[in-house]
Amino acid sequence: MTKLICTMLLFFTSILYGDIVNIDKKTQLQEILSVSQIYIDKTRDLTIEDITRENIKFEKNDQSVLGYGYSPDFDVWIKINIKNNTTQTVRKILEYANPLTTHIDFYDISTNTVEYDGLFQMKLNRKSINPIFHIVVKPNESKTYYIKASTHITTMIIKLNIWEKESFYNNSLEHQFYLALFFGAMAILAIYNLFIFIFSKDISYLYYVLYILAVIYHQLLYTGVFFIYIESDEFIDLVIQYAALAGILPIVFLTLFSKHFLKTKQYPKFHKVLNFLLIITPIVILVPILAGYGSSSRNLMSLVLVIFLLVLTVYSALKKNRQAYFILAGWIIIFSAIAMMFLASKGIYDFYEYSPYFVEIAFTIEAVIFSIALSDKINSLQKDKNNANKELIVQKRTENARLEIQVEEKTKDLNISLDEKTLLLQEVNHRVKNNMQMIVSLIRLQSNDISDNKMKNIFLTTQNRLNAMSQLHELLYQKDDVSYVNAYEYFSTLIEGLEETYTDDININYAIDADLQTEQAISSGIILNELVTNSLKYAFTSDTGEIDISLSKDDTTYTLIIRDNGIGYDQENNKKSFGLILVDTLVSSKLKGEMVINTQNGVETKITWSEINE
Amino acid sequence: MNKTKVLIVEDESIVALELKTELEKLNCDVLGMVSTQKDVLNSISECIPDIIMMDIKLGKFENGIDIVKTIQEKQNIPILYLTAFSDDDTMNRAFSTNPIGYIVKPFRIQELKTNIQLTMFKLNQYEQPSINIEHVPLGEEFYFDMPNRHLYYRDNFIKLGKKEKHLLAILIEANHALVPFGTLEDAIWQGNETSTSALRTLVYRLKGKLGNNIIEVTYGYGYNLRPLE
Repeated sequence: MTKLICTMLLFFTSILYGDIVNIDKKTQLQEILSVSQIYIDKTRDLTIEDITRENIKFEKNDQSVLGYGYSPDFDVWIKINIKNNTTQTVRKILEYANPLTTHIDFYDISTNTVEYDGLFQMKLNRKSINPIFHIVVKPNESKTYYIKASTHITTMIIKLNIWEKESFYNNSLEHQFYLALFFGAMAILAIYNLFIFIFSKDISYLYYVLYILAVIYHQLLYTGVFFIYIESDEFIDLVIQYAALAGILPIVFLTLFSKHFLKTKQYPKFHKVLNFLLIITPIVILVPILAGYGSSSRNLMSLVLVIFLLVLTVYSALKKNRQAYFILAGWIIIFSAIAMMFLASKGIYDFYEYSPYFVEIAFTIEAVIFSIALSDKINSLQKDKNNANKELIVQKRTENARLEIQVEEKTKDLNISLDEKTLLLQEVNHRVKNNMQMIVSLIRLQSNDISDNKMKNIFLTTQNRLNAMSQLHELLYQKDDVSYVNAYEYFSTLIEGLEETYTDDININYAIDADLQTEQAISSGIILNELVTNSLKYAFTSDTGEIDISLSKDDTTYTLIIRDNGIGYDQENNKKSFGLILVDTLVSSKLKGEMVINTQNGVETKITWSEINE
Repeated sequence: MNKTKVLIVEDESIVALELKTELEKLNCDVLGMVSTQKDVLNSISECIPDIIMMDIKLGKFENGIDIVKTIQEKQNIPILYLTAFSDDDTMNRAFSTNPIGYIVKPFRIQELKTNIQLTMFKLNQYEQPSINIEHVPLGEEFYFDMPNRHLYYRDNFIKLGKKEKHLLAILIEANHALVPFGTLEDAIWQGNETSTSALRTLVYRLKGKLGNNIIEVTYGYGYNLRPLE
């Protein structure tokens, strides 16, 4: 029963005295906006004196956060009644929990003092992100404070807290720590991707880095961190004047990034619209700022671009664009953050209350997702490269196989051709030998009919001359290399034939130190045939004798010496011998050489000639 | 004594004519000069020759070795090849028919004579001849007179070329042992470089006079005389 009465009492008290905040030393944090009173001054002319007059009707407010969107064209007056029910003097910090409001005037009626803070009139010694005011309430004292909040350009979001000092600074420290964490993470991502850009020269990375920098810039402004470290008012003015940039830059860079990353060129219609929006958006946003008047269309334009990008990303994802999945995931997160900020700025829903770092977390996650997307792109590029390499290898193999087949076919053709040529050569050789046989047969048949010895002798000599030719042919026919003839083999075969015809009692000594050139071999052979025939026929009276045959080559000069130890002859009388005429002719016209005959001791014939240069 | 009957298979009539002339000089009876398998078989069926002089290339289509193989299906008649072919393939194929000789065109009369005479000696089995015991027996009734380097079949002198004599002498001195090709080449050609076919051609020529069985070859190494039984 007592409990019920107490509750009832509290309930009525809160209605009657709903606009009185009781403070004590124990309570660490009290939200006081919802127990304050609000007056909207649309004239923007009212002063504190005007406000404290009775005719101003403050309205009771029960919202903990009030959002009025971008630069509302009115001043917001907040009346706060504070009472110290304790017996001790209570000192508190009143926090205006938003750093973006440009002008905050804090009035203490009891002391008739005013303090100014806000983005455009920041207290020099402030170390907190949000503006703060110190309140001192004596035991059992009631105090009324007024806050006049107005903002130009930036969003107006009002939230008021009363803190125990220590608690506030702890909280502030924590807040700054989380922000530092966020900015650190973003900066690292930016640096990391900047290096990737430098090494890969892929423009997507550059846009991504710029996007992250823009986000950092935006968040520096949005969280107010930027302003507590900047002391120059002109600079702050400049930054505030172009605050719209902080909103549009991340979106522009994100669009550029998406455009390159998703390769929107493959969707020509989207690509055209995207390019158009990319040009028009900065103009729509920047022109009013430069012209110096406010613009309400900037949010709309950003929104259009963002929604279009989202549609494009969804479209790409539907088109099975692998990169689009990542972007879409990032988009969902970033879009929710933007939506949250928008809702918060309109005062519809204050996410800060439930998750104060939602935006920062969203941005970080999104940045990480995009980083992963870029890594994936590297991966897929690597995969493409590997595939291309593999294809190249396969192609090479196919090409090799094709060449091999071609070579095989060519070789086969060549082999067939070679076989044909070999067969033809065999045929020709065979015919030459057969023809030679026919000639020899004819001569031998003819000589059978001759009884005259001298004539028979002539036929025999002729046979031996033919033999000299056909032996050479036989030698060449058995060899693969036909440029040189083994002189010893050739000569000894010829001599063997002569020995068979005449006598084999004469010792024939060979000293052959050279091979003959094929072109000169036939002449040499016939010369040898003639000279040795002469020696065998005429040189020896008995069955004993020696014939020396020597062939040598000095550089390019051949020397053939045929010597016998027989009776010799008188050169004068033998000049007309056909054999010698033949030798003479061959030496001079065929070999272009020199011949010296010495008939003093036996017969020595020395012939020299030069090698033919090819 | 009957005349040795010879059938000439030769498509070149001039060469055939010369062969006929030379064979008749050697007191042979030339049964005919033909150039086709049909004529050869006809001729054989009329009268079996003691020797067939066989050309290898006959016209465009016929081959002497094939004809020989056909003949050998029914009867064994001594074959003496006379051909312009001197390539290994043809020679190996020809030797597979076990001929009494292989003469390469253009041929020397002496070669023809030696081959024919040897066959005639073999065919005409006279009464036991008086053989000089100093002569080295080579088998198959061949003998070699080492000091004079003369070859005999029974008591018939067979003319050999200088290198043929030299080769045979070296093989006899080796006493049936294997003599490497190199050793033979060095000895016969006095260290002069020769083509590998030279020694082989020489051995073929000698085989034409000695028959196929007396000289044995170990391929890739050398020659030796077949051991006597």
